[in-house]
Amino acid sequence: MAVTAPTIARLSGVHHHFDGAVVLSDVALQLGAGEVVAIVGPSGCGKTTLLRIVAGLISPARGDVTRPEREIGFVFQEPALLPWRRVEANARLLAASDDDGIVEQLLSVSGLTEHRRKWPYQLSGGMKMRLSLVRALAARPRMLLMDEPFGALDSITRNRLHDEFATLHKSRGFSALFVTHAIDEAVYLADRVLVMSEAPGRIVREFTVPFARPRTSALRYSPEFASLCGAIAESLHELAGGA
Amino acid sequence: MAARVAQLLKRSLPPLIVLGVVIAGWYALAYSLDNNFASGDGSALLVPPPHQLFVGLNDATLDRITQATWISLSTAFVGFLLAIAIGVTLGVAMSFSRSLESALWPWLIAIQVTPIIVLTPIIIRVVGASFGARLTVTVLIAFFPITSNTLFGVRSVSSGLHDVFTLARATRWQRLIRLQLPAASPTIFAGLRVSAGLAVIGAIVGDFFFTRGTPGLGRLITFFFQDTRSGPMFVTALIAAGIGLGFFLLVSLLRRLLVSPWDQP
Repeated sequence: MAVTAPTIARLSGVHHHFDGAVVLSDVALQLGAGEVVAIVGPSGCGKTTLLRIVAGLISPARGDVTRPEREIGFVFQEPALLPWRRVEANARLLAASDDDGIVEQLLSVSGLTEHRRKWPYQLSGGMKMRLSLVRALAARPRMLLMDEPFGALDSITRNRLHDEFATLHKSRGFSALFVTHAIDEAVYLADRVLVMSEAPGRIVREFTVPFARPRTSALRYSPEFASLCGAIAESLHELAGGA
Repeated sequence: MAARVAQLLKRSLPPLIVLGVVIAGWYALAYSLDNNFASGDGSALLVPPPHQLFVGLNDATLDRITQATWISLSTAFVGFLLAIAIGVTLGVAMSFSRSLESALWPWLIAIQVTPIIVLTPIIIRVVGASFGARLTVTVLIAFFPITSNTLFGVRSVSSGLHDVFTLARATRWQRLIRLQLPAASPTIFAGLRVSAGLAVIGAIVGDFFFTRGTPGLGRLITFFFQDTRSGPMFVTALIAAGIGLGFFLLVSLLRRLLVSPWDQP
């Protein structure tokens, strides 16, 4: 798992269990500065648990975790917005009080400026997810963790958010580690794709994504893109015991 | 504008129809009771029909009703505010500590299920026949729904929202003020609506036992009852009902201003 950029987070020998059931076994990974890494794997393999351990929301039963002390952003599966705060106030929740500029910029990039006075319940699912991403990025994180952030969205909205995420990543330069079930999403957004085994989860394969940035939607229809997606899908199929 | 008027009419009409039915029933009752008009001067002895409510309300009686209203209103209002302060504080404290919850909860239930009319004479013996005793009765009857709803609301905040605050390294105080209490506010307001009515009941029921000093609405209504002054008795009852309704509407207005804008299904 070679990482050329300086490492911002590192896990080694991480084990974890819930009520005696082992969910993670000897997990090791590194995240380089500015790198985007995707984790794919079967349901219940411990992807979310791994992400929460990286964030520091769970302490592993065993193993070493190195992460930034602060400056960690997290985008959850659910947007987790404060319903009693308007869009703008939600966006500012984690931002430094004197850091107005970034909130304005992020609202603008994510197309939420004109919705700033709305309550969260007035937003569509895609807008809520964008706001959740804006809130996380407004804290200027060095490391952004995302747990299936686009999983509940329709494909058009999802593809649009992929491009918005890529734009934000380019302008802000944070590192990102995200969990997804969608292989095409992993390949489109990430520099590396890590494949986890079934529970107890371990990282068993790594695919380097060779496509240059910025990536455009045309990439999704290229033979190389399909080939890499196919290789990752085959890998998952093998892990599931398929022929 | 026309649409708003139509909507207002649509909302107001059903309760107005019920009011009409109640008034009609009231007249029917007044004129069907034996001996109700046996005095011979046309005034009712038992149940005055609505148009006779204010017959016999002289200046002295009005003064007594005004003073009693002020005593009961101030008792209910201050008692309600104290019940909010105590109820929310207890709910938050118990949400922080399971030990405190298991220590206090059975006793709070015991207070809640003991009829307030049984506790009132004991409170007067302990505290004395003072404004403090009136407040104690009011607080005792009103605080529990606020406590239980605060505890439930604060505990029900989603784990996802807690994670956001954990990652932001929020202090316990920041988490309480910026997350738990706002998230619990719809539930707390549901408790406040119940407690608002209970505070008025506490202020008036507690008053039955105060045999000295200026009477509140509770004792005044017993005076009018004993003197068979039906008109003032009904007026006093209506004022008590109006205070209860006013408290309920005040809480509903506050909820509408503070919670309804964002608490949508």
